Amino acid sequence: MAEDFGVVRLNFFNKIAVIRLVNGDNKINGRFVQSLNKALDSVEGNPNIKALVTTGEGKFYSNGLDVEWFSSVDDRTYIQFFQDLNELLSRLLTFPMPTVAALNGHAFAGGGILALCHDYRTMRTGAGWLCLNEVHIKLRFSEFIMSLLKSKISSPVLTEVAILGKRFTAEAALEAGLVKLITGPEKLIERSLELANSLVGSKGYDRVTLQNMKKDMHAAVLAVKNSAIRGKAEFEAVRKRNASKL
Amino acid sequence: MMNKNKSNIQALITTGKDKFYSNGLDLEWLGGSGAKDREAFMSAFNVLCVRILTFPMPTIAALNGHAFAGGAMLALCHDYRVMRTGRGWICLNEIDLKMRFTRFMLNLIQSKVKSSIVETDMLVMGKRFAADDALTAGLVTLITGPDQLIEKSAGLAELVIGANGYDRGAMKDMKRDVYARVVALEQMLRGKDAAAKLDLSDLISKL
Repeated sequence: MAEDFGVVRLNFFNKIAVIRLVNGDNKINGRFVQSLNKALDSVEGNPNIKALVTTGEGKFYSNGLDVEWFSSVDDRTYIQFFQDLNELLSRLLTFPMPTVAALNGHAFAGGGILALCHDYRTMRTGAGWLCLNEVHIKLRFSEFIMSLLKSKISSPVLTEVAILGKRFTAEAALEAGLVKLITGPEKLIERSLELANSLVGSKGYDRVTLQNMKKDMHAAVLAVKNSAIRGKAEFEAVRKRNASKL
Repeated sequence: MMNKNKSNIQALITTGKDKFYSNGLDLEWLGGSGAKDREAFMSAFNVLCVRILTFPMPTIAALNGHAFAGGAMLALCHDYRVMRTGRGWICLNEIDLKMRFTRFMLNLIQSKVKSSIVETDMLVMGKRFAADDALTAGLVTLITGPDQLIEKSAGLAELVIGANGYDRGAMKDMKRDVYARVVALEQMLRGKDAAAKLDLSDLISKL
């Protein structure tokens, strides 16, 4: 049984929901956020579902924020998008069941951050990087994102991830503790479902309790969810300034 | 047997008996107590945790058996943990009991468990760590057969003490510095020092 939300597709495997990002390099824009939220509504609305796996298609898990798109929209849409994005990331961060991001390919920038919002990450070997390359494209992290990164990544690794924008292959990601499990591409979904099922066990977790536990653990992140979003004009000015320095 | 010269003591090992190191907080007793008694106990528990956390000499928890919930927390307050193989788990099973951690407990645990994955395993999923899992996860320093637990713990203690041991004042200060957030949070929760509360206001909003 599958549900189609356009850029996102939902399947159920017994007690596990699998959300597939099926829009090419799965850039994150208004439509992406809306569709993923709808899929998450469907998962939450089904009381039989005990865990969530998300994955991409082909070469990409997600190539991050759709910079072209949000550079082209009006200021109100821009601000709304970033507010909605923070809400979506917070929602994933505190999702009321175990979550696994199965990295079938590249998870760049916002795509990497999306993956980090899950409880665990699995990753295929042989292709694809986990990489927060904001520093390379002269972007900054918002207070909310920075808080999220600090909450999810240990200090020495954080330097490599955020400050240096390092590209992590599956093996490097495993060693750095950024992913829990790595495997050949053909086995990625199987092993991710296996992991999800092992977390669920025979009983699963009480949803409210698990959500509260995640909220408590990431309280500092949630507290800055509504931190000021840099206006579009400021964002453009920063980029122009940096471009002119080249 | 009393050692009259207490200043000869350079390290502390704690351990339990039989199946349990500690099965955690006595929920039955807590449930039967009044609100004021519960509050007083939780305060005292926090104080005890900080005392062990900042004890003025190396500390080792020798896990002879299960360390569940509050028992695991006590074990985490020590500098090192040694665990027997073959039986017993270290596990924060609050999630299974539909309980939440206090801010103090979270800060304490997070100050000791540095890996994000292990943190998720432990806190969010309530995973049970047998000795070899605990070793892989970095929750314990050493694992050994049950008959060698105390011996190996003492051996580790000797290794840590080395030839000279540590100045007690220096060690206490160092631990208080390293675990400053946890120490500060406990003080704030105890509400002892009004001035301290004001100075901690920045720290509080970030905690």
